[in-house]
Amino acid sequence: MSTLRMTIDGRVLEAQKGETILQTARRYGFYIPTLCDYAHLTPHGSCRLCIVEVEGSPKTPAACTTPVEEGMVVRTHSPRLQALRSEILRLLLSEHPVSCLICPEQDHCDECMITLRKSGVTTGCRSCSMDGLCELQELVVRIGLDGQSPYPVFYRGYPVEKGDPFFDRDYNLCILCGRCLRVCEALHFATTLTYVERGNFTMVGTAFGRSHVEAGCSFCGACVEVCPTGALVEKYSKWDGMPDGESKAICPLCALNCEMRLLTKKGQVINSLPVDLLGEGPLCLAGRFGIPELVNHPQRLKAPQLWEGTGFRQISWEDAAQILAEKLFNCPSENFGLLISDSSSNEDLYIAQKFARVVMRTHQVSTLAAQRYGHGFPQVIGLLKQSVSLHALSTARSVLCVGLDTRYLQAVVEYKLVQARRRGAVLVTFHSKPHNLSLFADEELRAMPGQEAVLLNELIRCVQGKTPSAKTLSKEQRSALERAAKHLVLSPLVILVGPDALESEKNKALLQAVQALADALHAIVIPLPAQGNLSGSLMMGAFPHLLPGGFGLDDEAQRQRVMGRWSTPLPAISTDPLFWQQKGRLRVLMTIGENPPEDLPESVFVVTQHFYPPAKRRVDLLLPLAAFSEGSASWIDYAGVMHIGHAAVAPYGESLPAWQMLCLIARSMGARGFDFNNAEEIRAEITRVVSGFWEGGTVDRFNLTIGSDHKLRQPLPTSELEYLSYPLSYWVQGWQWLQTQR
Amino acid sequence: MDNSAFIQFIQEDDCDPGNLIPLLQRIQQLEGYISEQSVRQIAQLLKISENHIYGVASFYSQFRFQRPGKHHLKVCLGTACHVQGGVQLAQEVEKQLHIHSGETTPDGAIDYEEVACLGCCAQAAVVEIDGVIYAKMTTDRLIKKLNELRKSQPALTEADDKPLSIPAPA
Repeated sequence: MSTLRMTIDGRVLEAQKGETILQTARRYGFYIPTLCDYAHLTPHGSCRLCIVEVEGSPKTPAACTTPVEEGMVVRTHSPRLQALRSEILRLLLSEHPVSCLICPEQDHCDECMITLRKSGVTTGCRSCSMDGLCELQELVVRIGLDGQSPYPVFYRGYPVEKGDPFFDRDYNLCILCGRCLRVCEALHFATTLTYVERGNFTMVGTAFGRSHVEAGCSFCGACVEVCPTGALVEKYSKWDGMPDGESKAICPLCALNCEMRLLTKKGQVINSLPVDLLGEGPLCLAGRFGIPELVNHPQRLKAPQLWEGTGFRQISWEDAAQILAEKLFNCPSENFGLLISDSSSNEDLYIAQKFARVVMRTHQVSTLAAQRYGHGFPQVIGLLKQSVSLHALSTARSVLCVGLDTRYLQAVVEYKLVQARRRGAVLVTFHSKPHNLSLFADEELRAMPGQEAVLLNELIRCVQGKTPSAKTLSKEQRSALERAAKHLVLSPLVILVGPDALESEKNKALLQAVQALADALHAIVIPLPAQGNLSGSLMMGAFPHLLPGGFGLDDEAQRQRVMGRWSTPLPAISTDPLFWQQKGRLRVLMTIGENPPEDLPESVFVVTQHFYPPAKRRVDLLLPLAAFSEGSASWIDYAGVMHIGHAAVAPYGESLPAWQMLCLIARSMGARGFDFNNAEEIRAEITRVVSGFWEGGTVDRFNLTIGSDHKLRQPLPTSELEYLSYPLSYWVQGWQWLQTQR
Repeated sequence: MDNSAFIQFIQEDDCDPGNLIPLLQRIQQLEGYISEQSVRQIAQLLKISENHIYGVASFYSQFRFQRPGKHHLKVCLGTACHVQGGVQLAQEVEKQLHIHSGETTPDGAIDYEEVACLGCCAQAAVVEIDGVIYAKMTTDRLIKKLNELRKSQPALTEADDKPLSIPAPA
């Protein structure tokens, strides 16, 4: 790119050809006030606050839309510009409740008028929930208003829209900068927000005044994040004000493991935001709005509880560890089992399987994944083994989405698909239910539930140039298959396999067909499971048939390596993969972030959980578990990449991360090899037995053992997103409401 | 228009999102307004969101989203008509029919619209009923006219008020 020379505020500097004045000025540290501009969005030029003077031109062009030119002389500040900007601000404010900004008492208001807050209607900054966080307010302070405003304040009198979950909308505060609708258009196939009407009556809205749920909004929250005023605000953190801390965390709610910023205030998580909205993509509603509700849930456990026949009694950690150590000491290894949630962190999973194998001398440690995926579990592992990052979509010419719906969850996938499609890739969807991608797909294949594999096998015949065989297909289906086949032969092809397909009833046949299609077309397959750390639980060896590193139990080299590291022999006998379902087998079942299964025979249960478990589940000892945001923890995503999240706040009450709790018990039982002080030390040990295990590294899944096809029961009926065995709707009220709307 | 009729209706160049406005115009010409169903059908045809289509259509005052009434009533609020009391005429219509500009009476008899200029300023203030222009209108005469319309007579073609014979704009 060629450079040219120009002058800004008397300083001669080099600019890149094609840049705007604003971009150049920002790069050199000049301040130009802006409102409608937002990083990575196309320039809009609507707020006019970035006007500059260009020598030789009588006009004052907007810096955000004017490209730089050779020899250009620009002034960003002058008395004339100051007067113009001040006037523009006054015009903007004439339609914005502004009383506090011009009030002579404003300096004393904070101390004297605190009861004015939380009023029904926003009449000024002090009665606005975004007081102190508002870009408009900041600009007024920065630019300054010269003298009194000659314009009367016009209150538009729109009703405040509170009907939708997660965020409220008060368009009386809207300044029509267009950020929200531009970001909506950039991120989604179906834009929800648009300018409605024109001129004086312009407002941001939806078609026919529908609610956001009806209008197809996915509640990714991008519009709320970019809104410079208080027009769009989160319901949950509405009056929380300025955060006092921020930390990087990893979302544990699905296998995408999106990185996010947790905003904290006074030791509590108040909000979660994506790291780079228009770069890496948005969060879904679970990550964007669900997190503060999830980690601050009022029913979370604070201290260990012991069941005493009629109720729980609160006890100390020392007592709990002692009671548990005694129970475990007297428990034969074949009668012990450990169930751990597959949304737990790698550290928890690693220490859990180490605890079972070293302290309890058994391989009876597992997640419920085998039960959830049923017959198709080996195929799920097979897909995870070859999965790559979603960046593959950036070079794909055709994309096939199998059982993927990105309306509410996994919203970032939609963003990547939008980018791919705008680049020219063709999109084919395959689903048994109505889904949000169908409207925008180049071809939509709809299978009857349970018949997915049949249709997919027909598709394979089509791409191989044969005619569809089955007589059961209708004429339309046959021509749709042929059109889809024409799209899919474009290479490179990426096949995304969503949670609906992975957890479908006949997932084994379906996933085998997906694999066959991928083999026939040399496609990249990317499975997107709904469990936060399914890959991690496999790689940490938290299954009866797996060792850390994903090796099978019979892999001698890895056995030696693990035994050397743990300086203890491994238990020899391999066990039933569904040990917890065998009647009369267990005397002690420990569950971590997992509720004990119903109707188990009399035995001793120890549960580590956020909440009290559901009714009719026997629990003897209840230990409080720290949330993911309360400690350093790592996750392995769908593509095998390891991510580390940091502690945003201290653990709630006396709760502890599961690894710390297990180390405490192991030490009180006299076991060696559990002297970990922090998560970094555990990660250092994992690195020795799992290759590729470092931040940003892709773990070596080459040796991941698929395991045999157990005679498993059918998958769990719900494909709802879960965190620590509770469905998301249990934690997040808005999501619960949305479920009732479907 | 049901889906099969819509498929019959669309022409080859309708499938280009750039031709959204001509498509909307043709639908309005046929049906008299843009229904929610039409917007959904266009969204499926062009693979753009319904909200986007509504945003485009609501920008132009030529598009209406309510089924038109049996009789069409337009009150001119251009400069000359404004001076001659067009606003009072408009207020009288709202008072008599209980509807605002762009709406249709609940019984579907009359739809009402405020327009900027009907092109016959010398005759201000003017009102257009079913394509016929009534010159030098007063509130009294307007009330009389509205009462006639409300008696659910068929659309008036000629009135006793010596209307100007200016054809309605297409």
